[in-house]
Amino acid sequence: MSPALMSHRIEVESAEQALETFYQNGWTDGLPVVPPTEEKVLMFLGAAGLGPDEILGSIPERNRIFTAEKVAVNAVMAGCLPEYFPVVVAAVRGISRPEFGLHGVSASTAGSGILMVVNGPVASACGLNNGQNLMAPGNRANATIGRAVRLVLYNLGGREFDRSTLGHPGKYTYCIGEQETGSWVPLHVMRGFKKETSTVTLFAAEGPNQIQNHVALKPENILNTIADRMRALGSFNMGGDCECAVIICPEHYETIVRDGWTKEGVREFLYENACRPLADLKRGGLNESPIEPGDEEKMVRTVSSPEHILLIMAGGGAGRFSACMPGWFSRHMSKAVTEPIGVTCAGGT
Amino acid sequence: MTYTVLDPTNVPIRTTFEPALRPESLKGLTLGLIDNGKKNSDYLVKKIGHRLRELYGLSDNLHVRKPSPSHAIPRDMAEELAGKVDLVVAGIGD
Repeated sequence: MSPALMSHRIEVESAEQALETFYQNGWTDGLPVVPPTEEKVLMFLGAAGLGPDEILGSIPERNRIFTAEKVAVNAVMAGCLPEYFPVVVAAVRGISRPEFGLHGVSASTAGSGILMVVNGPVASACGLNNGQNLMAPGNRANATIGRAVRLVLYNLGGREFDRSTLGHPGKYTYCIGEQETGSWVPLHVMRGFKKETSTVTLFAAEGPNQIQNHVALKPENILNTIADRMRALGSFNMGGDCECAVIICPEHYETIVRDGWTKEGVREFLYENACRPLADLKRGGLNESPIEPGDEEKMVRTVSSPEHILLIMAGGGAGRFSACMPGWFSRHMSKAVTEPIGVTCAGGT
Repeated sequence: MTYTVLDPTNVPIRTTFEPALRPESLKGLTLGLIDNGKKNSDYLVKKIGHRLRELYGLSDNLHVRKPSPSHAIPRDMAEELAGKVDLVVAGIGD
């Protein structure tokens, strides 16, 4: 016997009318949604092995909880397949961890997106894109898994709290895979998981800052270009203790590993070189003290540790374009989290 | 023929509690000020505290700064306030 679902039922004449009703009620992200029928929702819950009333997450500051049923409803709406649902479940659990600071992340005028990096076997099982057009439309898993999480925040977390000044295109979706077949250690292994464990890493991040270097043939030169963008004066990283995601594209990766560079070595280099003088922060008014002797030599780093750089290898095989995504506000308000994805999700942490 | 879909939304969980009794007068009472940790929030709440003392004769202020604007006040900080003050000013802002 199917478990009882508690959501209010809405009777309409057709799927098309359901779609218009959802638009009129403000339940979409501006794009059409898949009408969530009871049958579809039960299929999703079955795919994850979850009862409808299991609590997957919450925003305690708003007295909001996310039940498996309601998350499944929004995942159906997003256009997910049932087999994507364990990834959505893990993502909702991850962003609900206190250290992620979901209340601030999803309310802030800064308007960060939630970058989702999926690692491990489930990424290929879902057909997640980690190559060409990495962060562009076209792939169902990338598009709908990220979208599901955002619909959860809008419909269950309280859309009225989102006061972002500029918004963020990643609020439609911001979900990618990583290329794990090269010599570099995948992101989730660097963060303490086994390679065969599937995980999703969640990080409150700016949009991708694309960095081109089609000339340099030395790793240090490529990495200097990346470090230069990472130290942007107008990011939270300058003057705050923030993390930063960096995507190295395959062409840059090939040049870098040809000289034997590991991910650890790249992170160390970026940590050392992504910095700027304190005098720059004072010239920008980010530090209100007057410029003093020595301020041109006193360096402010983008990150306070190499471990605060989330380094990912992904993107299309042609084109020497990498990217960095500075973080949001400060690590004492939000840290990146990595959540394991269960084959079934029952009894997750 | 009807087509049935499910409502994707929820509402906040309502909690019931007894509000603290309102004092008949503020004169001589101790005021707690919760600074949300954002830049300049400390100046703002201190000015509020100073002005309330001028207007209502409050005896003293206890100013605490939340470690994170993104999170609720830590429990131990809230308990400290509850044990030491008679009323509290708190707010959200940027």
